Amino acid sequence: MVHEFQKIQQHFADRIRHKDNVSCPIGIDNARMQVYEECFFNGISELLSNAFPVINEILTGSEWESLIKNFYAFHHCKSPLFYEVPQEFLEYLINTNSLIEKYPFIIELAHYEWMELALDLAVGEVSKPNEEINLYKNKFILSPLAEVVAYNYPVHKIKKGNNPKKEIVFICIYRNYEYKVKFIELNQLSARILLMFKGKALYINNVMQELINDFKIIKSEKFLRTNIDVIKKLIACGVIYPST
Amino acid sequence: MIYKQPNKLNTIGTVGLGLRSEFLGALLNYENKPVDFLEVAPENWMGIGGKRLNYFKSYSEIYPIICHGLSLSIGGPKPIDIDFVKKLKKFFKDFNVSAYSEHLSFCSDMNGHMYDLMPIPFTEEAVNFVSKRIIQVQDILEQSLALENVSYYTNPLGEMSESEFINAVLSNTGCSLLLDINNVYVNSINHNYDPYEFLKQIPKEKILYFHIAGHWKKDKNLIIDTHGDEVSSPVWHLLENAYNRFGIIPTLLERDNDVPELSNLLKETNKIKKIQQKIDNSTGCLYGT
Repeated sequence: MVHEFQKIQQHFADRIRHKDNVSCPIGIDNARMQVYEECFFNGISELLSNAFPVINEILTGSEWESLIKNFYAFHHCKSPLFYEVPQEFLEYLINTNSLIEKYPFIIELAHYEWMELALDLAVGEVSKPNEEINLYKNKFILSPLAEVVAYNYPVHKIKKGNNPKKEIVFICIYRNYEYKVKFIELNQLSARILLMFKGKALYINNVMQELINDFKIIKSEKFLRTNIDVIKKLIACGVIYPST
Repeated sequence: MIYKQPNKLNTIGTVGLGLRSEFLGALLNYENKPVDFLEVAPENWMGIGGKRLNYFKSYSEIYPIICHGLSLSIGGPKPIDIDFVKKLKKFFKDFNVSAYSEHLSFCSDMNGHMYDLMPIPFTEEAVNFVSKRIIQVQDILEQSLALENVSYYTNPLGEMSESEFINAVLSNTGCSLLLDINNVYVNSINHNYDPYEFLKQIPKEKILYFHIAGHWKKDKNLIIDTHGDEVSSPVWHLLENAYNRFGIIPTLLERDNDVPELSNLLKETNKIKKIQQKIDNSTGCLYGT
């Protein structure tokens, strides 16, 4: 059953969401209604500009404003948690393809910026990398606080005035033991190696053998040297670590 | 069922500060606690990990914590989010939270969350509707809720006065009141009433704690509750009057926008302490003579 006061409430909320298309509820002063419209818009705009600083920087002021207005008007946010609003915004971009023609990289950029936030707040710990570790006697695993992502644009290099050309990039975004979120640019092979360690602990030798077989590598010595070096670097960053 | 008010507030001290990311590191560096207790919005802290969680753990070991929620939408049209309330309950238990307060307002419509506060029309129907929801939340939490008098800029369908509305909700539910002194002042200007008279309508035994904050005077008849400035002098006077009327009640300084250096905020929390001491001394004299 809808009570009388609830009709007013819905009208009030509708007006805040769609102020250009919904009249001010009867009996409410326009100037007072405007206080709510501005406070709500400014609050969400500030939250999202903090979460997506690069998108905020590259869009024009009016593009940003209308993007936020439309997100607020049409996206139905389910999460009561404020730090999950950026994820709601990312979902909105994916569902609507907003601004995709002018900024074909915008969804990937939003994903990249959101990943940084998500990893910063993610539950879990990683220990300090041990560079003395024996590479061949231990099994290794990808850190639960590391994600390997392929993008069609170099999202990590985008800034104002620098519209990126299409170019597939592989990036590992991770949180280190000092709680800093960092990224490493990978090539396709190192991305593949990292993903092999995802969710299951493996011996490095077995991983290398699998690759040598897959690629039918004949001169395996150089291949091994290069890729063991890559793995050492990833261990030093704490992206893969010995599984206990 | 009626739940006892959280008696832990008798032991948390009398001056608190809203914990903000801006001074997460700075406050922890103080050797002597510069305030007695802290308040956080659970919606910014529950379910997280990382450095932020470690800070929160450290603070919860040093300071009593009050949770001041933002997303319950006690006056909202959708059913109470029971899963969310259960998660709150666990969070309060995990961090030994002293009390949980929310806003006597709504912050969502049928389409979802809106992340800011809208006014509940002051009507009899609304009182009954909100009261049932408060009781439902208290029953899940197995503790009483404190609700804050919010700042509002318009009063649609106002059948009853703000204080009548608040009092009706308090007496129906056994919940307590978080009396926001700044909001009393802001509303008194925006709706042209006497804030001192308003305080007279508030039942002392229902008050759990006070909030105090700064606002922005947009024009003569319109003040915006920004929490973005120092506490203004009429609000300090009103706080003093409230102490005289209700006794020394734990008081928390909120600052959510344009957050200055921690040392500046501590000047304000020290001012709260000074006013409390002044009242304490004068009351002591009164009883002594």
